[in-house]
Amino acid sequence: MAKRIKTSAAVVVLAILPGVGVYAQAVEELSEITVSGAQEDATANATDSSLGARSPEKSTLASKRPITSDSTHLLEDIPGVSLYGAGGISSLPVIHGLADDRLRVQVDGMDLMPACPNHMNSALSYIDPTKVASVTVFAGVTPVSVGGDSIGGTTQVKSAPPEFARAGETVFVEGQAGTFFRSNGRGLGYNYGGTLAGRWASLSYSESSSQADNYTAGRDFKPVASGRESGPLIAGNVVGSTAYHGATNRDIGLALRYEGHLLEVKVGRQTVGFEGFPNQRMDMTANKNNLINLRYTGLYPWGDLEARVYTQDTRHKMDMGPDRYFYGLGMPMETKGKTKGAQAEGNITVSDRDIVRLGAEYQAYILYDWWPPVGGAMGPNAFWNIDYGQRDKIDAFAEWEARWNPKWVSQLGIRGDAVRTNAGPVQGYDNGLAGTWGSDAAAFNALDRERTDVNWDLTALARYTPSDTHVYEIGYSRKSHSPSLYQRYPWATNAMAALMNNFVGDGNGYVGNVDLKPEVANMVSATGDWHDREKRRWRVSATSYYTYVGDYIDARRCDFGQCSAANVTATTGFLLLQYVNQTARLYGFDLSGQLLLRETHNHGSFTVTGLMNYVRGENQTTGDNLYNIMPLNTKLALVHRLGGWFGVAEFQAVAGKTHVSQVRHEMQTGAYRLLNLRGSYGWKHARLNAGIDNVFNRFYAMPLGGAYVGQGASMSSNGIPWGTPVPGMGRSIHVAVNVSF
Amino acid sequence: MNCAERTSPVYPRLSLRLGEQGRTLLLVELDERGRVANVSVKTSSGFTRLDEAAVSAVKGWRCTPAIRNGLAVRSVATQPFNFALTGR
Repeated sequence: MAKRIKTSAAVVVLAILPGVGVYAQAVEELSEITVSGAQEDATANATDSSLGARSPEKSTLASKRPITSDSTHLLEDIPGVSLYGAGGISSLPVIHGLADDRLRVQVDGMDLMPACPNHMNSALSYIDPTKVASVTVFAGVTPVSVGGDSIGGTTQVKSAPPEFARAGETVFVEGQAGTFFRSNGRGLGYNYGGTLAGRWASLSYSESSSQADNYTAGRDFKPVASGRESGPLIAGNVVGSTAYHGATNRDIGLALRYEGHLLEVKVGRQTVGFEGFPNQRMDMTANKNNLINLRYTGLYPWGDLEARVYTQDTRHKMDMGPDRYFYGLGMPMETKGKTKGAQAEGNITVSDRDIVRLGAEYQAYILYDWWPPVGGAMGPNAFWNIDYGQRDKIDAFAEWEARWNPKWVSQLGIRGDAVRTNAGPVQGYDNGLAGTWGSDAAAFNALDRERTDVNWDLTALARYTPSDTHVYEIGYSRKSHSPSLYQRYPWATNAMAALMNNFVGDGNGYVGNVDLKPEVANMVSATGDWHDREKRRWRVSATSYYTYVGDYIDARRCDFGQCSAANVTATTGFLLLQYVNQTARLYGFDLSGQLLLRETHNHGSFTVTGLMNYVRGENQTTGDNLYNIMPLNTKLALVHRLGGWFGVAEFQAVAGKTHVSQVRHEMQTGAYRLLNLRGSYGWKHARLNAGIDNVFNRFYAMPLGGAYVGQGASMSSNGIPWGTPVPGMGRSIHVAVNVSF
Repeated sequence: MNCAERTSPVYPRLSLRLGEQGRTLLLVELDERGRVANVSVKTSSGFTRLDEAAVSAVKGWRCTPAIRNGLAVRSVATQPFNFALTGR
């Protein structure tokens, strides 16, 4: 009956249509044709889904996002990626053994700069994990369109693209809120946000905050002792200076679109009340960061255009946290950073075969780093660690991607950048104390400190897809990275001052080197990916790589200024080092895969996933090992999915770290195995996450966690014991709830 | 109506980028030789781009004409298209 009524209605319509004459019969209804397509992320770079890109599984991202406070942890299941330990919200990413400044880390397209001699306010600390909608890592040969001023790869972290009302809707409203709790360290946090949008305009707001006390390791790893003079005792299993509080991000976004054009402005403010750093000599006592990100993207007949201007203003303070000696008046340190950036990129579709990407970028960074006077030898003036530091960069690139046929894709790219760095004259607390401050300051001030580097990057990539069950990629790249301000300009050889200049967490002190040259990495990389046709039942992916780095910035023992002769020959203890260009090579492989074990309607699917990473780093000049190279590590997980349920039992095994940097007195760490359980259940408007990390409360030292200097007299070189790596977190139970409407 | 080659429309790239999706209903008229003589939008998806993509695809179809009393005659049918996005 229903069909007949429809047919009759169609005939009525036909009767009023022009040009419709005599028909064979009433209007026939043909079966519906579904045309499906993957929505393109308007914020995405055109290369996101192509050569060299890696992203975590969506379900993995969704299960980890609500329970961590550190966005860098969202990268840890990507093959080839590991993490340097730092503060509770600011680990540093490592790709194939190269970390921190050697990577290009972009947050919503912005190249955010740390304004801290310890890199406490790293780029990824400026986006809350709950805001992260996508993570893309270019771990191997990085296309020049996403690289530049980096030798180790690129990490792109993005928040969700703006939402608009869809066809048939006049207004689009959505909101979400969530909270979490972690038992170890009593971590707490909340987040909420919402969007109000029409067809052409979208307004969004979000806020998130987190806090935690010091966490505990799986067992005692040091004596019970006071951290501060006459302060409360810190238990043997408590990892001092790992607490943080008042870490709050607020973001407001306005987006306008018309046809294929999108204009978006995001304004963000982050404030951190306190963040402890167990592998640094002091803690962050305040951080205020303001971001403005204005972006345009437009589609044109010839391709698409993306342009961006952004600013970052940072005020950052450090001092002795509650677990450290306060020395009467503490030791305040302050930094002020200002970054301005502009980018423009055009993706030009030259033909069905060829895409050409052309782009230009500019970034200007200014840094002031000063330490207010506190009296005694640390007064009467402020100490200027870096005064009016400048790092300006201008880049241009061209990239040609050709799809020769369904099997072969090639990409060639060239990128040039000019990096200028400079720093103003400095002063110590009292230049009259020549042996302590004055001589070093005078020597630095006498130098010509301005340097301009012209760097060239080249990339050649090819992808071969012989069938729909396997793909191969091979590539070569030459990439460059100019030294940072904190590698060129810290000038003091005074032990206390040098100890404050350290962004690798090894507890040593560092002196800059104005004459450092840019690092140049030559890399070859090959990847094979084998899978079933639907990429659902099984998949194995393997990547191997070899990187030779000329002028690799490593360290040598300081043997000038106030550095002692013993510093050069010491075999234990903390040291004073100076950055120096040497030669290095890194090589290794990573393997990942999955296998669908069983799938039934009643019991859902059971999948095994695996990951294995190996990297080796050697200093070719000295024969030493490179610092902080992650030992062989694997993860094996059983994943169960059934309706709204997602459960993971994850087994992690890490080999002992025996290849350690002698020049830095890097400590060995032991092998360990951990079991983590995570579960998540989603309803239409809510999701509950719960789990246990480190189920058996195993004690382990983090291979890349650095040296434990998180309590006691951390301002003096060997006033605290040497030889204790920062331990990982003991057992922790977490639960998180998120609702949306 | 018997159309051997009902080629699907190509999802317009701009629509993919802009998140446009919806259901388009076309009125398709065949002439006595089975050629698509006329195509019109009966119900719009709400997006001209999607409607035009559907119309463009239908214009290329090859069909067998309807037969009445042994003679080929003009015929008409409605053809729904559902443009659906994944990943949202």
